[in-house]
Amino acid sequence: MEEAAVVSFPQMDAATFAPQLVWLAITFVVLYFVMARVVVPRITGILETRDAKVASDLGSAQAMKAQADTALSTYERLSAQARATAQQLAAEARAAANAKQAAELEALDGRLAATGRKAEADVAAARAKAMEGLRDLAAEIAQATAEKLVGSKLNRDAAAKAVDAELKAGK
Amino acid sequence: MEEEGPLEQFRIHELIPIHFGSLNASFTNSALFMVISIAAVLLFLTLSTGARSLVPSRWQSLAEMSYGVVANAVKDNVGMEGWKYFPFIFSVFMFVLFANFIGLLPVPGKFTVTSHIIVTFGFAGLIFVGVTLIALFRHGFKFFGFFVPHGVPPYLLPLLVPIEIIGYFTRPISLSVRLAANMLAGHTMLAVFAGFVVALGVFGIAPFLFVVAVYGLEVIVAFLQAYVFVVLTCLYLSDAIHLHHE
Repeated sequence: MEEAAVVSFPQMDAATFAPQLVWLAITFVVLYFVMARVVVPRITGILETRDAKVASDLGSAQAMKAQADTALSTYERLSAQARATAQQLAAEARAAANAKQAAELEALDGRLAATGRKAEADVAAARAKAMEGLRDLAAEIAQATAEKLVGSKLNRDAAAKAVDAELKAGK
Repeated sequence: MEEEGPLEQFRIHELIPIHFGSLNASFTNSALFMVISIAAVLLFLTLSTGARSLVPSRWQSLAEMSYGVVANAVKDNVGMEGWKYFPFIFSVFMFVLFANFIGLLPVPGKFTVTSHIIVTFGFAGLIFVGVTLIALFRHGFKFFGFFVPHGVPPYLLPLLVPIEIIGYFTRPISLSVRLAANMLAGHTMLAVFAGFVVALGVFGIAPFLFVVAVYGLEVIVAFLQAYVFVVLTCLYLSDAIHLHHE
């Protein structure tokens, strides 16, 4: 630039306007076309891919959560079922054991009662036999005593009758 | 070139003279930095996203974040009807952002493309014309109703309609001046105080610390102005598409 054209304030030097505008146009057009053709589609693509990936990941995470929830509820249902079954089985086993025990107890009672009755009968028989022996003995003693006291031999049958009467009265 | 005033950094030098008749299309230092800016933008955005990783690398995250900033600005302010203009708006954002950042690099001979009003006006004018054409194509004659505010007493209209029209036509000016002035002011201030650092010798530590602080601020401004630029572009585009008046 010639000295005359040099203005003290460079921004106001109108001679520089044309070359600046020309090169601004050239550079900006280049910038715009590369931006519109390459850069913007690329970054838009990157962001869209990322958004899609995040959305699909969130979707699959939600699906997995739903799956886990159903698995949990199934597990809870099954375990409740199993618990109920176990309780029922235990109750049945307890009832069966109780019934068996009661039956055995009853049988034992019956056996004990039978043994007791037999023992009583034995005792009664032994007693009756003993009483029979006692009667005969008493009649003999009465016969012998009467013979000694009065010197006469008592009829054996009469003595037995007298003992019987006495036994009857003594009872 | 080396008579360093704070404004020298904005001086345009012809590197390769090119002339088409009366049109001067010379390759200047400004053009060089435009080429560097778009090269940096395209290298950054293509290399970082080459792997198309599902889990992004740091560089890819950065590219996705840049995309996200502009994508949200378009979606929030224009809606999905504006999505087809997204490549354009994203290009504007990345161009302005990288031009702003590259202008802040502490290397000799660096040049801030966006500190020149003619460059920002080139963008703003393109956006203004484009948005107006979109509005005209979408709404035809109804577009001119945009300049008539709703719910205003009719006797105020002769006053308000010219104000609306002036307001509409000053949009490209405010849009371009805001960006260029921010870049110009920040860089000039940095250069002025950097000059003090040398001039004051030992006491230069004070302006030095100031320069460090302002540099941090300028990094924020570089991003913020690029963002403001595209958000306003989105608002203008939204007006053109929806023809709301707010």
